[in-house]
Amino acid sequence: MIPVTVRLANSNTDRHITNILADDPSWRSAAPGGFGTAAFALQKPIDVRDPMLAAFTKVYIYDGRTAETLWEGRLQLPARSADADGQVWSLTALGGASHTSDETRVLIYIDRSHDGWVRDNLEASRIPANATAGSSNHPFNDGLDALVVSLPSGVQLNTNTEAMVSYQECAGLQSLGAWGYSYSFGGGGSTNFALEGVTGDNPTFNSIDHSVLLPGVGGSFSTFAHTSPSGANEFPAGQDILGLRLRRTTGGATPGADNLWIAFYDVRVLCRRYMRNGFMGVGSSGMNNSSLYVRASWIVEDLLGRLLRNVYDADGASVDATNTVDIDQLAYRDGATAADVLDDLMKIEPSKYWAAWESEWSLTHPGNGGYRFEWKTWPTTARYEATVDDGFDATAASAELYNSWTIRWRDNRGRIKITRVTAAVPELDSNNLTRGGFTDLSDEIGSATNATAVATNTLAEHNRQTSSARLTIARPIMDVQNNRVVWPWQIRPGEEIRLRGVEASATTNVTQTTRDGMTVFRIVSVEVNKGVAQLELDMFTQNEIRALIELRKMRRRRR
Amino acid sequence: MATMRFVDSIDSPSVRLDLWDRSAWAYESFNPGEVQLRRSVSSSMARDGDYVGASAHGNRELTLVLNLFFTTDDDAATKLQLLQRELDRPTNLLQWTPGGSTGTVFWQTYRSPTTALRWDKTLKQATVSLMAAPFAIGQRVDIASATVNNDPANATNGCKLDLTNIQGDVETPLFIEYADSAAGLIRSGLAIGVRSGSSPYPNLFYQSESMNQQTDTAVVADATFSGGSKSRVTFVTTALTGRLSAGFPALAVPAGAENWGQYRVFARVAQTVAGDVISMAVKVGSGAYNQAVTLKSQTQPQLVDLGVLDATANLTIQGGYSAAKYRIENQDALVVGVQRVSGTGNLDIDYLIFVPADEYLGGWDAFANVSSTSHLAVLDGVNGAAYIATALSGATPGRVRGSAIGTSGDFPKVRPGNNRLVIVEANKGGATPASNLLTTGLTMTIRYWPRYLFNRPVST
Repeated sequence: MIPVTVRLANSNTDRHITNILADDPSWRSAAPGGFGTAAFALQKPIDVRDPMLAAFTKVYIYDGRTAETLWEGRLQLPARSADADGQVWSLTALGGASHTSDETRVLIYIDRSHDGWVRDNLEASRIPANATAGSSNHPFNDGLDALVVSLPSGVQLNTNTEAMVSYQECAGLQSLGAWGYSYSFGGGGSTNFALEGVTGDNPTFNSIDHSVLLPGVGGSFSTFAHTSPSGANEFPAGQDILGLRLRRTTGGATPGADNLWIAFYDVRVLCRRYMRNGFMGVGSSGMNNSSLYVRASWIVEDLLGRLLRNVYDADGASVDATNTVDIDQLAYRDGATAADVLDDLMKIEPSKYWAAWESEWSLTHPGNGGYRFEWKTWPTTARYEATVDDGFDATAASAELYNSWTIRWRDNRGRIKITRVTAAVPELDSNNLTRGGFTDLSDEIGSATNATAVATNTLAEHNRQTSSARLTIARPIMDVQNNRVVWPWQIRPGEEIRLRGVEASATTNVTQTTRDGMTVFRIVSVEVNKGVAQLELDMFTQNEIRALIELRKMRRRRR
Repeated sequence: MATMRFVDSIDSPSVRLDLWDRSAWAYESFNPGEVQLRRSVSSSMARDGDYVGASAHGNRELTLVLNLFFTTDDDAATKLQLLQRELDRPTNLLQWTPGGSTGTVFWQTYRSPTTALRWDKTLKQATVSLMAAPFAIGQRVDIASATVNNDPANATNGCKLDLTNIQGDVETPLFIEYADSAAGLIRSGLAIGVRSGSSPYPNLFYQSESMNQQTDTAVVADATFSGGSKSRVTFVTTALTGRLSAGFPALAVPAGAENWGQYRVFARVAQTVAGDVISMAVKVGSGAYNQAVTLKSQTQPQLVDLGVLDATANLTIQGGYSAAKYRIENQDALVVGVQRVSGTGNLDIDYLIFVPADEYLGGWDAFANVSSTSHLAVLDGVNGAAYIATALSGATPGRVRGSAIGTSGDFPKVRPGNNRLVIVEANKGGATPASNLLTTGLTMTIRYWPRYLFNRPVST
């Protein structure tokens, strides 16, 4: 027999059901994602509801020899049927991976877009009708976009008259974590005006966090939220609106011949991030000492603490903190799920993937009951050694070769931009062929930096021959990483596998241990049925069902 | 004397219908049928022969030809009705003792038809085709109670129990009742691994003091630890570093073929400062560390599961087709790594114990506080459940108390012949399990029902 056992557990019951299964359990795991789906059937009367079949009952599939968890998830609403096969409960369960799609939230990590800035309406009574405030070109710096506020010339301006732009995108949803800008002045030389950066608790601005009296020279400023702010570079935590303004501070004066103006450029807004322990960071350290960018691992930590803590073991999560890209735009003002964010992070850092696995790895120290989560780097050496004896098929290895990649994105003023990156691919170049792909980053992660990073990283994944291959494993194989022999049902995706019995690459040798798409592959999914594992290598195989699933899951960016 | 009858239970059978009383029924012939063996076979043009990945027995068909004794047709109809009622039960038990044999077995049958009926004036005969489970069940065998001590160095059942001369043709699940030998209050989490064979492996555990002391680690005498000593890690280096090492799978060379296989490694440890955050991991040979496990922040001794190791991966017991068995002499290095994530204290390591993880291994959560000494924890391998109940041998047997206990892995099964159960008790004491104590033990009563493909010999 295949030494697999199945257990169902909820608050009412905890049972092993291996002996009453109507067919062999099957399950699927993938990288990214971890445990995906499982299916099995029970032959039981359908007119009686067993308490162990309640929705969201925990499902465990174990290796009975080692007590290791092969798959874990929660039961969906069971289906029932009565036909020639008898009365059958068809049970489907979803693994921990599904929880990243549970909730959609507005998530603003760093926003440089001007779309979120408006002529302020919260202090409209102070803003004269002919004041200007909004996105524009920098008055004397060609090609530089700025938020420009100005007060008109030749008009009596009383104390507190102002021209202001405000950012209210996170009002009531998130609190500000850091913000900053560079600034320039222009216009008449009155001393009774000030540049001010102000924050508030919607709808009231209640804190002047940066103030520069005019006339002055340009400069830069950044600040971080703190529960007990002290010093010039800390503002009160909990604020959720931000304003940038030119304000008459005292007296009444008529401005000079030129309109008084301030140009704020390189403006960025960052919202406070969670730590994995469920609390928000404070001060500069709470924002990893940066108001200029965020990094993928910081965002993963935030998702763990903000959205996933109730289902994942956030405290015990493994998050690889090596990052290669300083992300300067990551803002989901229309809402996103954790899965959406993780997908985008993997576009920017394609060497990383995420996965949610079992809740109990150690029999004696099971953690807090949440699924074990990891954000890790794809390994670069083969973990498993196998042959093609049980079955192997691969598409043409050249099908996924690209030497150019185009990114569509929207800049901070909403203009559509195109970034195209090329790379040398000998097989294409020597045949004078150009093959390109396309990705739309829209405004959520649209920036020049991100576009270049995504295009470059995508090409790096496609500049050598890789295969969409399927491998069947029906017998034990060697796990060289852990010095063990593993059975097909113990194989995990997110690792590399080296195959014997396929042609070696012309540019590598038979001792190849790093991925080459010819003999060493990434395992992107493992599906187990009747003790036999079907592995998808390097990429998910394209078929009708997969295409429909991806179409349904595809994120439609709104802007 | 021969028996063939439908009964209501195996342990204390009450007869439902006797098919050999010779006043109503006498079976003329009994054919136990062929047990189907299903196989998972994979084949490929890349090699000769097919690979059999797994196999499992299917049900069988028992064929009985029954002669009916009757006085009148009405009498025959009444007796036939009783047979039909037994055949119509969703499940039933058919007890069978061959004539001249002493061994009795019970077939688990399913609702089945009368496939042929002969209704003559003088002869009435029924042919019944009974679908049955593949194995016949023998009457229960009770193994004398034994105390399993929680110190592997204890010469008497130290974290193990050897079961000898298990009867039957095929493996069978165990039914284990156990109680806290000291106070009758069951709180322990438990893990049991099974290794069958004529010579259960000798190296069950390593005292830490018998291993090579590595970075920041030294032996310290301490009578409260197993063997009177412990290895203390003082964390000059706090990062994950090897602290203990030894040859694996056996300390002494030559080791012997009995040490082949996979093991789940448990370590008994104690922190010196409760608030410290310390994690441990193990690795063997050139492999990577297993997943690191963070210890409970307490100073009481605790048993920690560090996962599965296999030092004999991809090696074979025999070379080629040779009849001679290999034995392990060159050893892969087992390394215990410890990291102090935060804190100031030390970690004391008592021993490592190796629970076999290549046949059956299961883990059970701590049972709820049981108030009566007559209540036992039950690991019911037949039904795949763990619960608290009154003892089967007690005055009021079979009273279930409390809901089912969470179980991981599989319930222990044993194979005919000799088997070793390696038993680790996680932690106990107090309202919630907190401490792993060397001085405690479990009184275990193990029962099983041997399984047969046909009939039961006298003593096996």
